[in-house]
Amino acid sequence: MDSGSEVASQHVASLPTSGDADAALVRLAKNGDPAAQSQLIQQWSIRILATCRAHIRDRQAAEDATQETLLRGFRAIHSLQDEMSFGGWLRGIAQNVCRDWLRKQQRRDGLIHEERCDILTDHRHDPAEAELNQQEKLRQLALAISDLPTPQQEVLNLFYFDEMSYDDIAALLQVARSTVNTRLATARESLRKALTTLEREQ
Amino acid sequence: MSPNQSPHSNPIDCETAQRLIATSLDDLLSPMATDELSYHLAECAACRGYQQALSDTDELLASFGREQQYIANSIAESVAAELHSNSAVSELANGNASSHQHHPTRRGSLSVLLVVASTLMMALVALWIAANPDNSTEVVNVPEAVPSEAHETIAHINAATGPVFVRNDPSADWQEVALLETLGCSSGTSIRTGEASLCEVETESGGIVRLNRGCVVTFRENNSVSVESGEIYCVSSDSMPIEICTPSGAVQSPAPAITDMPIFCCPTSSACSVKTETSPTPAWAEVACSQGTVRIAAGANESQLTPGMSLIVSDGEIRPGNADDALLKTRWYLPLLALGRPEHKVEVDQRVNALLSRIGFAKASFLYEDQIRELGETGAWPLLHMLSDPDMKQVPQRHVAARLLEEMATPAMAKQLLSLIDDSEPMVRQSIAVALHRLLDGPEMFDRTWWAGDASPERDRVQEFWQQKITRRE
Ligand SMILES: [Zn+2]
Repeated sequence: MDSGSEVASQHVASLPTSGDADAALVRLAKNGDPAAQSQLIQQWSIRILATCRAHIRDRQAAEDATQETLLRGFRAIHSLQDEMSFGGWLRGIAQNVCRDWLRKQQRRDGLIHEERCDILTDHRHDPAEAELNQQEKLRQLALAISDLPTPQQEVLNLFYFDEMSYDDIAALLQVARSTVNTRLATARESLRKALTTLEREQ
Repeated sequence: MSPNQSPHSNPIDCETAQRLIATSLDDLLSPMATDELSYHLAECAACRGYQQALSDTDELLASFGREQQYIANSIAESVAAELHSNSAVSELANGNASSHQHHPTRRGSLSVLLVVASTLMMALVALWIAANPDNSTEVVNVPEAVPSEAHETIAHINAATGPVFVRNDPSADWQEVALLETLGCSSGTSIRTGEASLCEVETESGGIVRLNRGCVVTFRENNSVSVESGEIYCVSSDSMPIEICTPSGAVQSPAPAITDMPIFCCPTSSACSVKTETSPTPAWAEVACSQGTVRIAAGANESQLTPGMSLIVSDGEIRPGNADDALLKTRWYLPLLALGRPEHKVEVDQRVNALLSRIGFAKASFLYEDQIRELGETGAWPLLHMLSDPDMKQVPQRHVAARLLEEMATPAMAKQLLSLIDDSEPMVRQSIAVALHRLLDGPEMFDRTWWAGDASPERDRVQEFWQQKITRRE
């Protein structure tokens, strides 16, 4: 699904590589400026959380991975060569942290599935209170998101967590803008289906 | 997606309409597309339903995103605090307890508990410092008060951080203890800690009993300790269990029959803490196991605890206790370990390692860092050993150890620190440089970032200066 020819592409391209951090800020942070570091951490925590949640299904573990990524990244920021590529570099650390976690999790074998089943049964024996309140809806949404393929999740998270533009997401993930567009549209459509089905079941 | 063609003479079909609906979430439609879509929607209930469902999903996603922003902010705050931990610590000291507190949703009830625990500890430490203006850990010298007589000695006091009182029977007056090394307890001897002091007692079989502030215990034969009030921590030796009793109900009863009291048995090589409370009534005791297994008998009920578990015993009933981290739960006795007694060395090493690994795990880490700081020089040595150990290459722990040494290293460590100045990790090198600069008082021309990269003439000059200072000292 691409933005068709019917659409007048009104989108004004943003500045080049704006998906990445402000190089001047990164340079300050590299030199140990605590204010610049805090600002970058503030800016990037949400994007890293978006990436970690896309990789790790367990919410708490994804948050821990986010924290670990930021700590690792900012403790090693002096080793970053190209200030322009800060975002991609930090995201690379996040992917490593998540991969390590998943590997450890695999060794603890089967745990993911058990957890998953718990959540589901939890859901099913509860619908006595017929109305789906907001909290419940959000829970189901989170579950439905975690069933999406990781690349779709990451785009969806970046778009909704941080309200990043297509261009910024494309720059960060190093993919074409049309890819971002397709992943987002596909993800939304899957979620619409999943949520509609759930509502009908209640 | 419905493949139906709309009954009316629409220029677009449902599939196109739905694609336009999806596109319209992010991009403006051309005026022509907008017209075509609205015309279709006016006629097609299916596509109106689709539009509603998709915009509901979009809205739900947006509020999910906002929730995540909140979580991310909380993570950002704790990361920034950890990175700039010096300022984080002073914030804590100002009573501006950790950033976790503002975001109770992040860590859930555990973090709230941790914050409460830290605040409480700070209050206690403040109280202790207030009560000991010179922060002295020496025991006050008053004349020998306790007659050792012909009674068989069953325990003796190892160490204390302030005044400790004893009496040999419940009707006698409390006497302040002077010469700890010579004080032996016979069966029936009670020990009371002052409002601001801790003490450690060793039984003849090698069991250790630590008394928290304002605690009263009585030692009896057969390695039995009864806790009249307050909190103790207890480790049994590998040869002999320790039996701990607490009065249930009437606390003032001078010598309650042993069967009226809940009994915690700390079998060999196990450790637990026991805390008694008289309010709310009836009196209750909380037992937490930190090593081995601990058996509990209360009335007809029995239970067994493994490390990390805790139970509350009250009025013959046993119920689950408050879950808490064992390292935080036993934080109160750190001042005893900070006395630096040689027999505590192994325990301090283990504790610092356990704390470091928690910090590496990145949970509530400044609480754990604070605990290491509380150990003072005693805690600094294991950090230095860890840095020197070629087998310890876990990155986060080494960084934390190095960072803590920036403030905690003592002059006696200078030589060993200098031998580590060419560590493979830039962060570690920089921290060591900062520590040496502080310990060796110079030189004036100094910049920690010289150690961030490769060797340089500035760096060599500073290291040469340090080397000379150390040599001169020797
Ligand atoms: Zn239609």
